[in-house]
Amino acid sequence: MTGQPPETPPPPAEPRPVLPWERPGAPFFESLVETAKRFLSRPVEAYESMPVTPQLARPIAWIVIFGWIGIIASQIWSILLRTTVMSLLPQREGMSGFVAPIAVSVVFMVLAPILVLIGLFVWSAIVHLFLLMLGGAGSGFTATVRVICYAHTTDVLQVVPFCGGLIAGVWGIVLSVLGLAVAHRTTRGKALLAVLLPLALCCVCVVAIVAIFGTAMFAALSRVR
Amino acid sequence: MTWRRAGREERPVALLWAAAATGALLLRPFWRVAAPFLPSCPMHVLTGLPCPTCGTTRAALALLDGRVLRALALNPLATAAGIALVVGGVAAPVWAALRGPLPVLPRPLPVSWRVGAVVALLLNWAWLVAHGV
Repeated sequence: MTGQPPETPPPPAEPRPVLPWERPGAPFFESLVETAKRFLSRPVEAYESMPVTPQLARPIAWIVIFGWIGIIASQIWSILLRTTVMSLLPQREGMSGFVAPIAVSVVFMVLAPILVLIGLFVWSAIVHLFLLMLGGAGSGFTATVRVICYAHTTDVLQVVPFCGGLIAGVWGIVLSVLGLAVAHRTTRGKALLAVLLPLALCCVCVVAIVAIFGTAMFAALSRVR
Repeated sequence: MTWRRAGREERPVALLWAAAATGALLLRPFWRVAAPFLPSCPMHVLTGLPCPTCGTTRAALALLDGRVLRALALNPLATAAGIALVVGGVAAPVWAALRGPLPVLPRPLPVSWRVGAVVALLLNWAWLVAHGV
């Protein structure tokens, strides 16, 4: 009997090697630097290499390290530049206390790891809740936690004075969106909404800025690989 | 709603929850010192109206002082979340160790649940506006 030969299925795609930071026995500094370079330069590939497992020890260690560096850098600049910052702030009720005393900054630096853990859990829970409501949570809560942890790679940019915090924040949002889309196998649009909607709720008057910003970011994210 | 037993895979999240709750409670003196340095809500400053999360800091401080009713008056939804953070942080590791039952959330979430969440947010915001928080 003649006929078309049965089509052979294509070979499965080669799985990406796991992130250096999560390889057992990898050297500490080499794996730290290599993993950071991947998240800062090729975030989608990096997140595709991130194992989506319930194990959180390595990702949590990651965010504690980078979060601590970011907080120390931002507080040092705050201490060094506080006079300049005070003169730039509008003299209006509610703004004069914006620059904390040096003692508070020092305490903030010491308590940074605990603050990072609290912020990680609370923010991950909020983002995951919004992702569930948007129908974009294809994986469990630990996937969201892992994405948020590695998105804080950008905290190292706080070493840049004045604009480092802004760059770190915006870039961190970008990494979060890309990571959520990969880890939860969802669209970047849903991931973007899951991250921006909670921020918009914090102050409704920011909604307009968030909407403009979100539109621009969505357009840019479509081109990121 | 279907249920399943908690497994070993729940323990890392349970421990993270416990660490966050414990840290929030232990840092009570720090929150009191740091709270005045948080910026005021721009919407409240400009319009006199509270945004959906206004009162969260004051509610958290009241909750840490054990003044639950005061906290609820300041921001009911934030207070409920704060109570869930603390109670859950204590219960989660125990629940995971005992392999207690966990709900399996339907995917996607039913429309009624999503509408309910949005309504809760709006009602909370209406509360804040009505009570001049």
